[in-house]
Amino acid sequence: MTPGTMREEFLSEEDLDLKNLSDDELFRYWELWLRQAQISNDLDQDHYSHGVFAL
Amino acid sequence: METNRRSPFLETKPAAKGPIAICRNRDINVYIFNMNIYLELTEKFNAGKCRAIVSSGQAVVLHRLAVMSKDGDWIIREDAETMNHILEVLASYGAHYRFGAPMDCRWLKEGWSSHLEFFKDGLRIRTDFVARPPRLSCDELNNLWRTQVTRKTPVVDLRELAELKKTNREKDYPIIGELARRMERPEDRFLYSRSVSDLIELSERFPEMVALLSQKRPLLALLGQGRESIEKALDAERREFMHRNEERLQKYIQAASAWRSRWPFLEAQANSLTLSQFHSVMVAEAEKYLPMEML
Repeated sequence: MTPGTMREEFLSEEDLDLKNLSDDELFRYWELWLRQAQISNDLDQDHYSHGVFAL
Repeated sequence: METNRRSPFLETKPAAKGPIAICRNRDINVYIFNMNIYLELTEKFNAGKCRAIVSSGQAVVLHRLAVMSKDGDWIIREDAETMNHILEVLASYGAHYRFGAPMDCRWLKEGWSSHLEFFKDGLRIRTDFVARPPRLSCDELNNLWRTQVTRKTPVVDLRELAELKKTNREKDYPIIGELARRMERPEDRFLYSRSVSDLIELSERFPEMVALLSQKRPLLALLGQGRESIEKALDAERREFMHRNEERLQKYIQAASAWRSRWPFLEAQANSLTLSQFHSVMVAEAEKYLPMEML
């Protein structure tokens, strides 16, 4: 295959798998992700992810 | 690459199941155990009237693209009733303001954003609000409200979400690329694709659209001139979007410098006031320190 001709992949396998999940599985995954992500609360205490204070 | 492999997260023991909450949407039918906090808030914000549309990170989840944000973002109606209602809902969760604009039409109609936070069941919940989202015209915003008003869970559609994701953050551009792959209209895929392969394939299927759409997206005019030129143009386009957003944010950050200096004195009063009382104090101070005219 010629370099650069493969179709680009933007997301991880886990993310691409979201569309295959049942609604219940999606919401369990979402909840678990949110709970796991709390580990970085101290690190992003002053962080703004959106809005006009997010530079 | 399509995959049927389940996420390892799902191998863990499921959370204890509470009463079934049912959330129906024209496009997204959701049956949930222990309702997700962002859907719970959205339902409360929209009690009796459509006031808030799920945007950005949690919209990405609802469109089943990725789970990548801890925070909730909403586009809200630009009227006092909406803002009072949302503040009442957030007060019931014990929320407090973070540094930002007061939730008041005079600032939000000028593109400012309001930010509040609370803790619930071990989760830090951040709630971010705008009434004038960036890169959506007035017509697009009006159309967004028209299309969302009948939905149980209002959530921005793919095209609007792609516009909102044209930020200064690298991580948002893969999301735009994947959003484009989910868009139905070839015109929209031409306008939002981040993939050289996809653009070449589109141009082979719909060659008649290329010239017309290249007026809206100049890099499309390079289709037919080899992959490398399109790759370079995609990179340059991404950097241009990022710089444009940085310039937009810089304008607000500069305008908020006096407000930022004043904030610690204001925030110190938060513990002794209810959210409603704090909001009144914040508005009175913002009238002195935070400019309204921005757009």
